[in-house]
Amino acid sequence: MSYRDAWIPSPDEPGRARRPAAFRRPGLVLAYAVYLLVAGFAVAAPWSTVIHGTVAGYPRGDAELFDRGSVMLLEALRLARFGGPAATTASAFALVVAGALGLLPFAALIAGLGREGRVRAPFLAARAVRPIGTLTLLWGLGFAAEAIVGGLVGVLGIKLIGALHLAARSEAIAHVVLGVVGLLFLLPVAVARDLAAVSAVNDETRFYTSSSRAVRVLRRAFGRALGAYLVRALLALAILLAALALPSLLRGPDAPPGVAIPFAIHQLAVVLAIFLRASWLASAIRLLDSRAPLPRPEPVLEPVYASALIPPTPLSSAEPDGPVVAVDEPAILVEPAPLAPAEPVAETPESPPAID
Amino acid sequence: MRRLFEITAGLGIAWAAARATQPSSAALAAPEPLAAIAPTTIPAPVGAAYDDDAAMTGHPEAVAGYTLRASLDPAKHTLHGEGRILWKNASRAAVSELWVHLYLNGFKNDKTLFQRVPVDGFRGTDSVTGFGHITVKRFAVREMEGQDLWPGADKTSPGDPDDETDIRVPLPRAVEPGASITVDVAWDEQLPALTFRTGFLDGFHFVGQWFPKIARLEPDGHFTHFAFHHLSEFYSDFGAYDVTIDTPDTMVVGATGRLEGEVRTSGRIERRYVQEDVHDFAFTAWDGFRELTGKSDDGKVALRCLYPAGHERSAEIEMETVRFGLGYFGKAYGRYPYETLTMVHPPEGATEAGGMEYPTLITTGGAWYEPFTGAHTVDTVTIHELGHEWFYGLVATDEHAFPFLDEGLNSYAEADSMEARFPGSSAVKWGSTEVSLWAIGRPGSIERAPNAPVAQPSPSFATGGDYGSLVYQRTASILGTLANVYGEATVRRAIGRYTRRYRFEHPGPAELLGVFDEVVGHEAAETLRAALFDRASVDYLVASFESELSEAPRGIFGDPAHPSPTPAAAPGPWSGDVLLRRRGALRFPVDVELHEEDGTIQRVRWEARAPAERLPYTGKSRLVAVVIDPEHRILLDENLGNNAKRDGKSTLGGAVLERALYGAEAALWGLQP
Repeated sequence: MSYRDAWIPSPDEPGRARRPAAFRRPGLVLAYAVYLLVAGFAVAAPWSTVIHGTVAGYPRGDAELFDRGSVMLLEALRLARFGGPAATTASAFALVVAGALGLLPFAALIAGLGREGRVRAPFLAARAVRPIGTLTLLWGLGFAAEAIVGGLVGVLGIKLIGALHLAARSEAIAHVVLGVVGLLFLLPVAVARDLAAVSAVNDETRFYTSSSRAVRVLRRAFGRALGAYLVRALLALAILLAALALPSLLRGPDAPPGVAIPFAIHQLAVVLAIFLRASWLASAIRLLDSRAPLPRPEPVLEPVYASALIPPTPLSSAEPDGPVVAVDEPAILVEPAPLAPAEPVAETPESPPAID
Repeated sequence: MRRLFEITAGLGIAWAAARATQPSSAALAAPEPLAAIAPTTIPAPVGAAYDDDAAMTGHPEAVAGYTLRASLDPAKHTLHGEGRILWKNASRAAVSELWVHLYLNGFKNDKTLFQRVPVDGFRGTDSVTGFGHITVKRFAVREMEGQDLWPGADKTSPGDPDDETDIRVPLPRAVEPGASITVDVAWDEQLPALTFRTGFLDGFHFVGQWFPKIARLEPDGHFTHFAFHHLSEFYSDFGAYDVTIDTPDTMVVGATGRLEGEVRTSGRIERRYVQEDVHDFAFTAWDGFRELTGKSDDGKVALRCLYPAGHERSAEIEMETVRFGLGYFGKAYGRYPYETLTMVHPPEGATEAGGMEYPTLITTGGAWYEPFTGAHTVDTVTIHELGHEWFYGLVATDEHAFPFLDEGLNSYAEADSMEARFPGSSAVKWGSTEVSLWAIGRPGSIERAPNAPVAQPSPSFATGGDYGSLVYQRTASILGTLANVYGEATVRRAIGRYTRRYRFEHPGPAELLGVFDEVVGHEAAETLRAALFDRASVDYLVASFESELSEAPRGIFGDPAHPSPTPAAAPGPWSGDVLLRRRGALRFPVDVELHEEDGTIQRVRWEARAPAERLPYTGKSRLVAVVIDPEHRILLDENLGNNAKRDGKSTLGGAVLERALYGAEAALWGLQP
């Protein structure tokens, strides 16, 4: 374990939150929502422009697209064959970039959730940027792991269903069940990814330690971790779907589509979904602290690091080769000698904590 | 009459032109007497008597009657058939040969015309996995000493040594006009694995094109015969069918006609089905069928739906749809004359047997969950196949020469009736999103329009996609546009007059156009002809508009020495003009909306006689937008995006952007770690 894998508080940092909770950070939740709004605009604008182009000359504008019968909607889609491919490319690119850039506000959200009292922007920015490498790795490998697990479950499930020679309706139900099972298999991967991300941001651990802690939490509190994630994810999904249908239910069948009310409903739903995500992350912080805590230095007045007494060995900030076992072990500290040492030990910031 | 002559002459010219521009499909298709099916006769005026059922004929002239017996072995998927054909020479000329269609041989090998002609973009294009064939064992004419004539028959279709579906049988002596012969027939057949409407899937059997069938004899004494082709298989003479179907007694059977009796013998059952005044017969047999029965709303037609387990909701929808359709089509196109109608919903995996029409028997289809999706797919396929009872069944047009006369008119009838039942959402209703069948059919009808004329023989279409989009969708869009412009009731009345007058007959395009000329008017008939035969199209657009405050004209008026008074300013405080264009050969009068800045909307009629025209504008405020055809009545309009123009055009629309934004945010929410 390197020195960065131990929690060393900085004197100018806000203290760790004793009980992290999303409702204590409404500003960060809203900031994250603003990011999604901006990023969403970048993703949505290309296709919106293409579709709107067909009705741009009409005084009623987009309302033409949503008339009963959908003649203009299908015409817009037909004419979109010219600009559609370029718009699709632009939107896909924007989606990937926005997804990757989203790691920064995501990390800032975790950092804020993990701290007590007021947090300042520079602190959040620093906390968001520092672990970006680890987060990116976790993000990419998380998707890869989800793809592998999902693919395996899907392929095996489809083969199994095929072998059963079910009737059409039973087969369809079996496919739905397979989908649910697949999601259940993906669930631990997603939870582990989030736990590792929280560790990386909140405790500044690197990839291996972050992953190890996530696995340890799953080993020790599997049901609690998955339950905390699943309940919030399902609730968020239900809110997003309900918000999809709500505007049309509110306005009645023959009223024009409008923009303001749907926008308000949809953005409220997004904020709630983010709040639920933040709530889960706060829960993840608590789980990590309680089920896979990092070693903390004892509150000694004048710690003397072993390195001062033991001949120094070359230290490396690189990740250890083997599994980290020292995480739960106390840091190797040497109590100060009852008598003043012959030579005072200089306590400098450069003195690395000998904790490996 | 002169107009009708013009139409007929135009048809002939268009026909010749269409034939001349055909690709080298002749290399693929067997030679056909295509010239014979070009419309050359001037139909007599029909008259308003056919606007209701009173003058409608009750029965056709019975030309070909079939009394057959079929024994099905569902384990081997074989069938033995025998019986007699009573055939009458209803033409004006003596006939010295018969043409017999053996369409099951279309599935015999990979080299048949059916198999080798590419029809990508249409159904039934999967390769045949189990070949099927028919072998005639006996073809003896009683009136000609009972001699078996089959050994002397041609072995293959004319000019096509690889195809055995269109066979000429020379007669020892001619059959005089009005004379009849009785042909004793016997045959064996192997059904193919289910392909293109026919064959078996496990225990399910659908048996169409299964017996030796005499081709349609035209009044001038020539047979309209053609090899079995992917895009056409129907055109026959009317007659009575009396068919006994012998199957194991576990099999549930559905067939053309009414069940006249059942005889059970040692594990098998013989069912006798009889139907007069039809031109084909098909049946299905499966031990897995469930059955739902009912009556039409007027109680005159016995309805029966055969469906697989799990499709109960589909069966209910099919029953409801047929009840509605019998009433709607009966009122529009003449009452349904038969006592039975059987619906067959094929089991999963037997999709190829679905969506097909036979006299008094239709096949539907769809997955079990489709009724719960909000899409009216089951309703649509049912109403479409039911519509064929009129457009193919009762009005027995030549599908090979002019497929638009059955599939096209029927697609119009389908959309028209579904819109009557589900206004605005005849195709789909998903929450607040409602999609009509007119909207669904329009894109294909526009995109493919330049490829080929609608009115051409089935084999002339280069692809199945062209065939589907032009024959089905474009014909429906043409008729839908005419209905929107000249009145839905008027066009429905025209088609109803056509279907009643030509019930149990074999009309061509000239008869249809003649009735349109009578009912809707000459302009409409000419537009219909151009749209069908000439690949004619139309695109309306607003080229420009401007307006300014009206001022009295400046300058010197009259004699400079003694100037006249200055003319008055234009009537409104604002005046200007609008430049409208109509591109393409088709012409429909359209409404134009002029939007003023103060919210006032003026609506004017533009006859669109010239390809470009300036409309004067006067109003109380500045002209800010112009819209041609605001209700989108012209389904044939090539581009609806250029039908409107306004000041201060926006790049992003609020409603679309808002929806897309929400979708993107939700996607990003899911993507974030």
